[in-house]
Amino acid sequence: MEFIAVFAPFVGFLITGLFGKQLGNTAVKLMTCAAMFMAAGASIYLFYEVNLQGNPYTTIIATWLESGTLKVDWALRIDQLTVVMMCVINIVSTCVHVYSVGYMSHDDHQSRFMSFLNLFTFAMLMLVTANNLLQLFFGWEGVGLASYLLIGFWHHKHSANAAAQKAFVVNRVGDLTLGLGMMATFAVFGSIDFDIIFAEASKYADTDFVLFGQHIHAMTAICLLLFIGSIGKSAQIGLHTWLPDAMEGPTPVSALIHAATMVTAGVFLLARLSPLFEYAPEIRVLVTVTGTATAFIAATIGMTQFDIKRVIAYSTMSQLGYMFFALGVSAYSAAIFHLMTHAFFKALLFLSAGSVIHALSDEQDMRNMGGLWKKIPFTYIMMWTGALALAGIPPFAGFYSKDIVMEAAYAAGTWSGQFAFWMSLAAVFMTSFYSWRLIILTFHGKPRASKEVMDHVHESPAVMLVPLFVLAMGAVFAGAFFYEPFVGGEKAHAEAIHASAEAGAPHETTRVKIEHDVEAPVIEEEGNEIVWSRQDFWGDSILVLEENDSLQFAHSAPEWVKFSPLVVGLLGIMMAYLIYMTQPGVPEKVKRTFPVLHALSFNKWYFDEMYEFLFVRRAFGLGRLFTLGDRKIIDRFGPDGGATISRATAGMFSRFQTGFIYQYAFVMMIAVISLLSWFVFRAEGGG
Amino acid sequence: MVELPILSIMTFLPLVGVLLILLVRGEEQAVAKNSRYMALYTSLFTLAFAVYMFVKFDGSTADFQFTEKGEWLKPLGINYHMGIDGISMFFVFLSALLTPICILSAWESVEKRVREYMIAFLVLETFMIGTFCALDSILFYVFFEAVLIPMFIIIGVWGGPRRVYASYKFFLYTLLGSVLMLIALLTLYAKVGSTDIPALMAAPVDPSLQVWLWLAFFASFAVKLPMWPVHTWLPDAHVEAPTAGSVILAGVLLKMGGYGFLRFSLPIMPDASALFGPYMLWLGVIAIIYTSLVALVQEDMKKLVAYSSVAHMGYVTIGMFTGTVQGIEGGIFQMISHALISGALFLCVGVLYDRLHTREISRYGGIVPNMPVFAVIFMIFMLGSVGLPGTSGFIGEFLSLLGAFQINTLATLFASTGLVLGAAYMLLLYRRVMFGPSVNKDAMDMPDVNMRELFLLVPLVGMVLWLGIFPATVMDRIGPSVEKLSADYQKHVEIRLEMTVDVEGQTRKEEEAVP
Amino acid sequence: MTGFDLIPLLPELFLAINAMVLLLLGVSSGKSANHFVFWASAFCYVVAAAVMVFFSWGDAVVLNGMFKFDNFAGFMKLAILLGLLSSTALSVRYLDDEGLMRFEYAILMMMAGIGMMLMVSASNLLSLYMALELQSLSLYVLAAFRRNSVQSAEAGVKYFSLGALSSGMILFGISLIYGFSGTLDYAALQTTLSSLEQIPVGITFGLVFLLAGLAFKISAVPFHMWTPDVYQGAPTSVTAFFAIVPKVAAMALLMRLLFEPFAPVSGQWEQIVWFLSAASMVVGAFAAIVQENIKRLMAYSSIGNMGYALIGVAAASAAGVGAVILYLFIYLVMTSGAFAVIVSMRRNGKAVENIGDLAGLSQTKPALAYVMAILMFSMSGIPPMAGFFGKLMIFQTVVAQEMYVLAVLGVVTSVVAAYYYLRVIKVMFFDAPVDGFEKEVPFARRAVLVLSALFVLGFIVKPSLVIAIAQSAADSLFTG
Repeated sequence: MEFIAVFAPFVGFLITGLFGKQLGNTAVKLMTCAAMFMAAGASIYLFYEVNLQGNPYTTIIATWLESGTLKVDWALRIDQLTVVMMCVINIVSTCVHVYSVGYMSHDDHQSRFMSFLNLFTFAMLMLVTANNLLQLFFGWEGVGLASYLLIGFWHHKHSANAAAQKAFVVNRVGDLTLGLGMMATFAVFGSIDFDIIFAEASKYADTDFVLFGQHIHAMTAICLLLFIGSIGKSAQIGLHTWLPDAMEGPTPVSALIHAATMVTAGVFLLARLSPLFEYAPEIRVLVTVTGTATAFIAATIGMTQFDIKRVIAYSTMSQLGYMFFALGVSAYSAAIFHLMTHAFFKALLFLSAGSVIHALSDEQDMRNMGGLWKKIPFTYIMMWTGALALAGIPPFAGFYSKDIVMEAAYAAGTWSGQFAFWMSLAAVFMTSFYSWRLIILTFHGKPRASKEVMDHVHESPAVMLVPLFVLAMGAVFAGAFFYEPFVGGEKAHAEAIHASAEAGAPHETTRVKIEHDVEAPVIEEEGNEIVWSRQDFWGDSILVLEENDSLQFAHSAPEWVKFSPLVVGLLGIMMAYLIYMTQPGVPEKVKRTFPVLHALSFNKWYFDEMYEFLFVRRAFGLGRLFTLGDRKIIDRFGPDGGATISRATAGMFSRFQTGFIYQYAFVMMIAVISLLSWFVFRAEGGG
Repeated sequence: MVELPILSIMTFLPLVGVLLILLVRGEEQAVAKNSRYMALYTSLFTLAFAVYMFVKFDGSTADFQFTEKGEWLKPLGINYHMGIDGISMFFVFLSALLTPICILSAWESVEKRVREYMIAFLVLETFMIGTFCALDSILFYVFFEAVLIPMFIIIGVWGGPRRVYASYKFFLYTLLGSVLMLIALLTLYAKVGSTDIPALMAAPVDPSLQVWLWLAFFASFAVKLPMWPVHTWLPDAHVEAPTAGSVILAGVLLKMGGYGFLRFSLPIMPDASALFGPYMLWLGVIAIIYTSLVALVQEDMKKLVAYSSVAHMGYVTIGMFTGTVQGIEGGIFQMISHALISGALFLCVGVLYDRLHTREISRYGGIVPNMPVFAVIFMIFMLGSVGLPGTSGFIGEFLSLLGAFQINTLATLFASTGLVLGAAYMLLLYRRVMFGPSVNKDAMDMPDVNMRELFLLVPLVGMVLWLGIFPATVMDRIGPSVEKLSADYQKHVEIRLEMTVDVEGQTRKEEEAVP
Repeated sequence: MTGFDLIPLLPELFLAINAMVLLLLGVSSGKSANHFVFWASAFCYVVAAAVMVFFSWGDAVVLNGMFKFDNFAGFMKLAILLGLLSSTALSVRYLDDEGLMRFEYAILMMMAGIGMMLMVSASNLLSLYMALELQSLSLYVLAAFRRNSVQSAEAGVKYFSLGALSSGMILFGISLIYGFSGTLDYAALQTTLSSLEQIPVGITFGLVFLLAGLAFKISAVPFHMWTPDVYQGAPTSVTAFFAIVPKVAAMALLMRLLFEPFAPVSGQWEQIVWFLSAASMVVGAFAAIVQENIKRLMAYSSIGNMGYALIGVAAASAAGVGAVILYLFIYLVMTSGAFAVIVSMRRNGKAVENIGDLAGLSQTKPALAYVMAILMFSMSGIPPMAGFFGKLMIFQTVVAQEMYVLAVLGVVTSVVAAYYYLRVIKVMFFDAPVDGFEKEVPFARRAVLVLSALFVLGFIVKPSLVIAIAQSAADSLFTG
């Protein structure tokens, strides 16, 4: 079953990739979508099998690499975390596939597009099913490649190629630290197999590297490297600059890769490695702060962008920030929960945006939109749904996931947690603000698009709308549906833990491990009907140390914490409504009153410019310098210099050849005399 | 049973082909045609034997196999001694594999003096295979240096505008290195009383002497590899050499340096190697960063690939001089994969060059539409060179860095930046050549790869991917030899505590090579 | 001391008598006999060689210790005869083309040959001097053989006057040695010197003068100045002869001198030889780089090669001598081959001598070009050519003596030297062809070409063959 779930897309990619021409577009579309449906079906079955029945397992396929003590397998690790990811990936991916059939129908390379989508899905699945860091790395770079290919899909556009390359290179920065993290892991554990490192994590909890003199806490070092790796892929602040540019790709790509799945790989990574991160508290603080900063900064940028896709991109970034600080406070399952809901409503938003763009014949600038809602009502509704979910309005999915995340942050009882809570609260406000700014600018007010564009504005075909609807379902119900199993508190000894937490968390490192009986709580009927405790749901796939179990405390967080996000969100919506519906002059005024702030936000806090100046220019400059160095220094004083010197010497020698006999004779005599005198000298010296 | 001397057969079969070609008579065209086919068949025969060797090779032992021994320089007690182990086997195979590819790649692009061309390549093959098979240091030296002759001719006769400069630089630069090695070999002979490589490996050499010997060998192999800062001959040679020349240069000749380090420096002069090891790591790091940056700004496709070769060889250096199993295996694997990938990249450049007769990157661009198949192939090799998991390039880089990480973490941190830079320049190359709007009219008219070119490139694609996904094919065979080498080396290396792990009293130690 | 036994001198006598006969013949029957005289002389060399081969190779000392025959002498003489043969083969057609065809040429060569063979066998300072002069005088004349050309005459004069100077040095050296040791006989000299515990300064000075004189003959730096000018000035066939044979003979003479009578004082002469060899290698390598005239190039190349040979002498060991002998033999073959090409460099009626004239030879006359290329690679000591093994043996002996400086100097200069050998190849193969040389290559010359090429290439197959012979020859010096 897991083979179908993972390899169906790969087969699809191989066939369509190799024989795309011969098969023709329709066949390719059918094949790729079919593959995705199979995969999705399989993964849903696995969900039932693994998460609800609760028997995770690992399938070893073959040995990949064996070198000395290093041994790495190709394997599929099918545990609860994996399966959740698989479901998200496959379902969203299926929707996107179907959607693309309609969206790309005008493109003459659509078969290539479809097979790339398949490739991406496969790589992503390899990532989540990895049983060791190396295979994870394989998937990690695989998705990077797929995203590179898809961002640059329209390779005749310079901007697209630039964006694609930027995405790949910036990601490579993260990838390489991930690789280093892997090496560090190997150096400590002598293995990079998940089973082994998870089992032994506690053993090396206070191991030290000795690195350039001073001691470094091994776990901290490893987790730091791994975390930086995840930053790259998940576009956290610092390595995020590629994500907005990635919007150069076709919209389905943005939906699938740059909203729903690939960018969440970092979140998955940290959740997957929770057994390590649990022993690196400093890094978790760092994670929290980074996540919070991202959430906040991205939101600020989102408020002033005009490219509809970029707005959503920044909101994606900021939502990823939420997930990260959730991870930072050890609310891994909450993070995954938000990841799932976010996958649905963000994909929904992107695809709706795509539908808008489609309708406006590839117009992306919101300044040239407006007044569309009557013409494309369905898309309009979809957009609303997505926005509501994003803003975290009950009963939409976002409400549950975002709230639990923020409660966890608050309840973590650490300064970073508090910081995260308040900043994210601000972010919530901005989120809902820019969401409705987007809606209003796009659908309401006077049409700002040119006449003829407005004329053939049309609702997208069904093949595009159905996926929207499916995703919308997810965006509406996923939250309420899965709240309990994902993040619900377990009724067993909740009080006890709570009490102990009140007393100040115990500090001996004993791990909370709900003993997991193989024939799990037997339930023949649909698993989600009965209330379900998260430990049963996640099994061993996620480890949380007792004193870090913020989720547990989250459930007992004060009421105002639970409701403040909602209130703030609604405020944001109202704000947006007031400004953009009633008095459109306000934005300009704001802009003039706070020029600096606006500039900062509008220019994305100048990250690109900074990097351009710090790294790109430097690299090329050095390159030119060294090129000169090769010629002007190494060659000059190396081979060429040698040649010159030889020639000079040669000239000197041949100058002796004057051709005059007396001179030759003279030289001979000199030589003889000098030889004689040498011997005399030696005789004197008692030789 | 009587074992047929397969190594000697492989080594000297090409010479038979040479004789046959010399016998070819007739007018210009016929001669060219016949010698082409003659050369192709000969090299294919050799390849067949290589495959046979590959199959027969026993991967479970570290000893030398297929050994042959015969009297040669009797008065000096120097023998004709051939044999291979896991380390040398794949280089032999590579030589046998790349030669037919080179011959085929020149099928149409070389019109003038075809007969000489083919002869040169067959002779070259003989010397290359001989170098990797030789188990007597003098014999090794003979082959090792003889390689210069055909390569000099190839660059000089069929090369580009600055071919004379390039060929001289190549010849004299490498010669200067190797003559010093000759002195070192003779010194070893004077001290140990034998030139037999296994005997030399067994013989203990006085450490203080080792230092000098090591430097002499270094002079030779560092230039061949090439290591920074003695790499400058490589870009010139590559740029001026004809396509096939570059392929063989990148594919095999550079590997002689790495092979030499593994065959001589590490086992015979372990103490000196341990002494210089750290510096070698740093030289490797410099090579990676420096040359990657240089590659970033090249305007000439071949120069770019050439510099990338230097960078990749940097990983090899790092890997080998960790002395760890992963490091050395990584180094070897990196060499193999680089031979395939970089050779293939040169072939790709050749494909473009044959069509447009320029290597200026700016003259291309936006040619994906008219060369889709080529685009895919080129893409795969480009990614391989970037070291994407799933291609052979990744395994090599990862293993060598993994090995280095345990020895010198700081150096590894620097070296790994090469991964980013590598991605930067390769993607830039691909982007500027293949992608972008279609501006250059003549570039638009280039036809896609023909059957012959496919026949050259597809097998390489296959191997690059196969080795990326099932590296065991190589690992299983080199494993024992490398483990033996590493173990013998580690014996000579003092142990310093690099990393301590204290968990309930139990301790793990990371060893680091120190003088 | 066997009395008046001439058997060991048979080859020399045979040649001498024939020389007289041919001289008379030539004088009597003018031009018509020219070619006959040449081929006859060539035939004589072959017979002499045969005589020597079939004749028992035992050691023998005759003429009251004036003349010594042993393996060393035998092998060297064979080499000399081979050299004479090949240079004769190279000369004939060239002389025809240049209008220099006179029978005296052959006679003079023969005389020089006899002189050289005697030099090899000389075991007394007097016979040494006699032989040396016999050889030198013939060479002086040959150098100036093209009387009507200023260059040739100048070459002759230079060679003669400087040669006279060197002879003077040798004589002075001999007299000094005689004065301080009271004997001229090698054996006696050896015993005397070994008996002395403190070498008198006179002996040392004598040795210095003697070596200086001989250094002139082998054109070792700094006594080499004459070489380039003479090589360039003399007719090419003569140059070939100079380059091929006399060097070998002089080296043989030098070695016998140093390892038999002066073995006890090796401490003294080793430094001189060290200096000579180092200087020769350096000058030979560098000065040749800028040469345009190929004969001048060969001159410097021969200087350099003598430098390498002297390395082996400096090693002062049996192995060293063996290496030198081998080296000389290989050198002899390579040089004959190279000059076979050079004498074929004729364009519209006259000989051309510039390297540039070889341009594109690989396309106009491939065979010639390939042989030349092989020889050039061989001379620069690139395996698998024979030249490499010559150098290998030399360096091996010197490294065995732990004289690393000389060894490193040797290899480095060999790299520099490789540059100008490569230059010849470059011109032949890389450059665009100029109009080709006229005339097909005559048979004798082609034979020399092919044989030398075959030897150079084939040497690697069974190197032990020649090496063993050379070694046995060397050993006879030390046992004797």
